[in-house]
Amino acid sequence: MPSLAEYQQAMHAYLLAAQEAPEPVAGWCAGDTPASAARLAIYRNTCSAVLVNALRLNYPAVRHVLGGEFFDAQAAHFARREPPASAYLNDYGERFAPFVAALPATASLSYLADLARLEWAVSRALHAPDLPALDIQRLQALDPEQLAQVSFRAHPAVHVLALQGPVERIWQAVLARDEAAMRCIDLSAGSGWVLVERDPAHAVQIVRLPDAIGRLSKQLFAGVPLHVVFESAGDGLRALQDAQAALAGHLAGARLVDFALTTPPREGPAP
Amino acid sequence: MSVAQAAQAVSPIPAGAGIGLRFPHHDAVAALRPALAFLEVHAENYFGGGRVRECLRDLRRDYPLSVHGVGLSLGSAGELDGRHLEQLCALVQSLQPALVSEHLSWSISNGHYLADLLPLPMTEEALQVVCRHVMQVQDRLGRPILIENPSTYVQFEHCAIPEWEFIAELAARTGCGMLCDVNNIFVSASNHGADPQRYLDALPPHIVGEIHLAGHAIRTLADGARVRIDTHGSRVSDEVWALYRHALCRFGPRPTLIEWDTDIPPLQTLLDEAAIAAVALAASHTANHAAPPWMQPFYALAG
Repeated sequence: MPSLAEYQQAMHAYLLAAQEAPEPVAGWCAGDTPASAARLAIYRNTCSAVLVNALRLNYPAVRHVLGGEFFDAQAAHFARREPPASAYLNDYGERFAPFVAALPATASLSYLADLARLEWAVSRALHAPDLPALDIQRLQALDPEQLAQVSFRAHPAVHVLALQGPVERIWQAVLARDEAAMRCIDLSAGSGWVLVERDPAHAVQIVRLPDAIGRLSKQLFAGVPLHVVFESAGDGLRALQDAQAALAGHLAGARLVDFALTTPPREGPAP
Repeated sequence: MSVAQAAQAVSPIPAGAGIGLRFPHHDAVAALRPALAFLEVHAENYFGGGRVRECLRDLRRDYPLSVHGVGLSLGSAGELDGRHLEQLCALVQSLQPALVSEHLSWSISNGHYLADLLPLPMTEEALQVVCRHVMQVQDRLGRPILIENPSTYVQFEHCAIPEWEFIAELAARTGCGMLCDVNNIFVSASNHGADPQRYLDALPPHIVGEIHLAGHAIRTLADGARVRIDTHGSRVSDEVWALYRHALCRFGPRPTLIEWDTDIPPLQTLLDEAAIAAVALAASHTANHAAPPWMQPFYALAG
């Protein structure tokens, strides 16, 4: 018998290999090797089925669009190539979205990449941990210079996405199996920003944002320092109002949970 | 024990029948509040927040709870996934379950989760690895855990230690208990041509803190061999019920769980299965058994 680490590495390679070759593990099993190989395949099948199912649960609309058989085959391929790092499978599959959108066979589905990104955001909205909103008094305790350096942390259930086309309507129609709604969707219309979050009743909400608010929200959620966000809003009263509205709305909506103070760039040469 | 500690005392699970709580039954259990001794949940299903976590918090007020982990990979030659252990710890601190359990198996190698409860060679090296990891988990959680025997489809050459001895030794070295899955004992014994009753008879009764029951399937493999597979997708078989009654005779009454994870039927089917276990448990209560340490109240560490 090899060492425990050697056995586990060999089993790892067998479970994730594209071709079934149960050696050397089958040789270490009691009984004859072909019989052991047939039994080892039970583990291999379970491993693949569980990971494919995890991807199905996170990408139900993508699966419907692609067809179950094609999706499952690609999911199994992806799972062998990029198995999860953790047993918490609700967190598995962020990179499946770009993987499936880059397949030659899906190139004609222009909305697929965005549909997959939207589904991943919906999955985060369903499963992300519960976290309390940022206490606004902590911001009020800062002086104006510190406030400019604030870098926010967004609630993990909240995402803002730029979509090319009415992708959230495609998502709804696909999940509702609403063929009539599907036929009415104009793929060339409706690009823009959406906010995906879970509401206080734990339902997933997808709402459109005005372009300026969407762009600013993306930066706020990504932790871009507040002064940079406000500078990027542009000049003029309208730009300032947009930035203030985005910040106030997200604070009131419990979409920001924490912040850190970034260091301002030094002025002049370093000593 | 201080007053603060006493206030945090978690009631033990009575030696009655419970069911594994799965998402499709959340609403039905919340609405019907069936008479069950306890509910058991897979830890990893509740690492996140949102609706499912709120539902569990709600049910926790009415039912003793058992948290059953499937992802710690106690048998991995490498280190435990520290983030996973912290997630489990946060869940246990938040829910204060009466029991916490994991598996005698491994699932992680080189940082990859392989999504099954994989078989461990029954060697002294594996025993030392599992002991080290069980101690690490118990130290972090501040409480003992139960370890479940696996169902296996292969055995390894030159494995000197019988599984029951491996588990008894694990309990002796670490202070952990055993979650005795009677279906797994039956499945493994059938697959390896062994006697399941001999396994039960060799276990020290005082280490058994909980019993699992589930259904299994019989499959014919490519080479024509018939193998029993631990599917958790059907009723408990007659042979496993018989073995369960033998286990109760030997161990005395123990909290007993009906598990059902695939092709999940209406809640009533699980309640019917739990009722069968409850009758067997009631019969075993009349026999005179000393209660094991697992049946005493567990006191959560203060702070």
